[in-house]
Amino acid sequence: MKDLPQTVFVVDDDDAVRDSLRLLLKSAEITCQAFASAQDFLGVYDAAQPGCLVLDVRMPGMSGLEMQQELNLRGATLPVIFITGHGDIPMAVEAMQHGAFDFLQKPFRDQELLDRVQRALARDMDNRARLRHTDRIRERLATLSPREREVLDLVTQGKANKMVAGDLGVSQRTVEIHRAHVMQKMEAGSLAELVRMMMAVAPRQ
Amino acid sequence: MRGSAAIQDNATKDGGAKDDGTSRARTVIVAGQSSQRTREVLQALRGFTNVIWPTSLEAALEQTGSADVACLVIADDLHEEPLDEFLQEARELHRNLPIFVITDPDDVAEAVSAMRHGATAVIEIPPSYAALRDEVARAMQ
Amino acid sequence: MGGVSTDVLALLEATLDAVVIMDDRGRIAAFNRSAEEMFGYRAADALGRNVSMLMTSADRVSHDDHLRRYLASGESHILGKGRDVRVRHRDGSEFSVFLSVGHIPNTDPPQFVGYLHDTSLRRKALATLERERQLNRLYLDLAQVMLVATDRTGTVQLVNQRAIRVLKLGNADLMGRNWIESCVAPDDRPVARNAFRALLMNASDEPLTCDYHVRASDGEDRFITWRGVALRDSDDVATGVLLSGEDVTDQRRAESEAHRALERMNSVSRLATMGEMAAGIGHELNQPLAAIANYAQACARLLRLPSPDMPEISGALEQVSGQALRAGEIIRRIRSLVRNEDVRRELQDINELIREVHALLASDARVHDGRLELDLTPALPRVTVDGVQIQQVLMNLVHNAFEAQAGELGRGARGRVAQNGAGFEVRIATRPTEGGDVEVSVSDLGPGLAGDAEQRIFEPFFTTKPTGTGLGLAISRSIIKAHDARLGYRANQPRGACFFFVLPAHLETTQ
Repeated sequence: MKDLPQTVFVVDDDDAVRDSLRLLLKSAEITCQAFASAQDFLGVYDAAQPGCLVLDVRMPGMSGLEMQQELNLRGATLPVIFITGHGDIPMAVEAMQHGAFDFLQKPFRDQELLDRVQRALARDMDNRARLRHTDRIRERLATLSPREREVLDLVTQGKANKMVAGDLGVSQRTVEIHRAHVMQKMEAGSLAELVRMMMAVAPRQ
Repeated sequence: MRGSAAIQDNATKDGGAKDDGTSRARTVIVAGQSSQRTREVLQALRGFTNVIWPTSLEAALEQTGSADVACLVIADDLHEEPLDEFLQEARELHRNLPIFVITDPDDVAEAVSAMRHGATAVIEIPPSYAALRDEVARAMQ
Repeated sequence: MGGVSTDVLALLEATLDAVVIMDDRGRIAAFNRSAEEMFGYRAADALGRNVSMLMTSADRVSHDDHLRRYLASGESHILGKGRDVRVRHRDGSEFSVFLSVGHIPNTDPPQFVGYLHDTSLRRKALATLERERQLNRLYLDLAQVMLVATDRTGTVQLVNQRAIRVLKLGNADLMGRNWIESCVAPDDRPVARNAFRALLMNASDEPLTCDYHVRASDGEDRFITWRGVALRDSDDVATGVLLSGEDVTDQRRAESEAHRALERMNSVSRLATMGEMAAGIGHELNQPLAAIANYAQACARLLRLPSPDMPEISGALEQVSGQALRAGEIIRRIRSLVRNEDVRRELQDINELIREVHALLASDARVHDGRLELDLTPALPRVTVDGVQIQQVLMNLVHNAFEAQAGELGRGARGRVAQNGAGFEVRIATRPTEGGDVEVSVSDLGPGLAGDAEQRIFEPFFTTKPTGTGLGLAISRSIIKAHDARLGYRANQPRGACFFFVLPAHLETTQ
């Protein structure tokens, strides 16, 4: 399934800033949706929607940083660009430590913002692609039988078929058959590829 | 102008872990060209044992790889390459190493860029000498 | 010896003057009691003796000559005239008397009577009077106050040295002149005239006071505080006035210097507070500036597109001017807060004053990740205040409140994520008091003031902040005090601090 069009979500309580950002993005032919508060955005946010966030740090009610926390909790991967009328280094560092993609002070040059937006949108594309990739790997993994799974694990650890047979207590021939099925189901062209697949879905240390 | 450095703890050199419960002397590596700000950073870190200021970038990267480095402090720009590149390299080599980058006060753009390239935290000097000492002390534990 | 009748003797005893009767040979025939007292002889001892014993040696000789000449020619240099002569007491001391001599008619041989009036007594009295007068004069002139006495018409009768010095005129220039027309500064004459009239009519014993300028001969005006009493004769009719005046020109100058210095301190403190709120101010200004930048840049891009969206572009340009005006308004508000104007007390609506600075205070709140609540009771009586100064106090209190809460969490105005529900709240409330006045309070949910701090919080230079000047509250308190009110502290419920002051309501009179 091909991607939905990317949308930049602008969240800023200041009417003029919000509207002017909308216009700026429109003038660069970037699709944009604007919200006056974090609540308004979270109310309609759909994780399937690709794009990025341009988010004011300080807002009444839920602040930008609080919203970022909330998105982290929800497992959202939308890249966040913070904008602020009053920012300093400690604030910027904290935002970045919490996973912000970028941080920009108002007023900014249009090219500055648009560059960062483009980068953020590209990052979002990458994220989604990787996610789809790992999702597909997982889907394929799920189709393996338990025994096939065991073979896969041992083989990707670098063990030769003979060793695997020994570990599992089956014949080498059995191992070779399982292995062939695994390669087929996993749509892997080589052992190396298989290894890469497993690394992609492995939990990060 | 300060010379290149400092005291080396022999205990870390031979890489031996002390099991007697005493804390190991951990090392702080300071990278950066010889400048006012680097001098100020070194000054701020007085009192910490094992502060090393390697004279070349390669030495810095090498030291970073040795055992028992508590953290890396990038005090200023480097002659040999742009700060962000060096930062990225160091981060790629050492996923978990605390790396602190020092900037001029209120230079938010530089701070953000450093964070994006892998800094753990960015500290403005002056005025936050105390903040630097806190971060390094935490990293030492 | 030629006797003197007893009737005559009786007459002689009654008079206070010394009377000596002598015969044609100069022998004393009568010597009254006053003569006894004057000369120290008993009459018995004096009778029969020559009057020359009463005279000084110089006069003795001439007396005999006079007597002989008179007897011979009937001419006298002395009869009918009085003159001062020196005479001698029994103890040898000499003194002056005023002597008049008469020829007693119908006496044969002729008898003469001399009346002796002790001028030394008179002289003594005169001398004493003179001395006293001089002493009084001395007192008058020693006095550090100006003393001026006038008659009912205001003509100067007396001035002392101090008055002369202040007015830089001589005694002669002042005596006989009209006090008000000659010495009072023209602008103040109406006041002085009223005071003069009141003084003459004043029925109480207390002096009346009045302040006005006098003008010295070189044109310098001095400001004098006058106390005056009416001078009255025995029938209690006012005959004039006595004014005592203290030159307070320098004092007044010092007072207004002190006042100006306080004003300067106020405005310095206001600037300092504004400086502390700079983050908020920067934020306020960056918003419209960001909008302007975005709109303008967007227009530039839109214009480069194949078919520019004209409605959007014109809408954007309108916004640009709107935002520029918004920024201008913010700057104007800030300028009025830092302007070093003279104190101006005007009738104000306290809620309006608060709303005027609400935006600025709210931006300070945002910078602290806090909230500013307004709890303003509507339709409060108006108060007579200097609006800018009251706003300064509010800024100080609100800023302090946010700083206190931030300090409690161990951080300054940073963008850390607040714990859910632990937003900083500062509340400004206005409400009427039981007495009909207006209470303004600023309360927070911070740590409040602990023990010692509660006593000392208004002291100059006392601060609980690591980088505080310690002057903000001291100056706020003096501002409120100058408004006839008191800046107080009480603990807030359930926690935190509350600073409050009560402004006297303006009584609206129906005209």
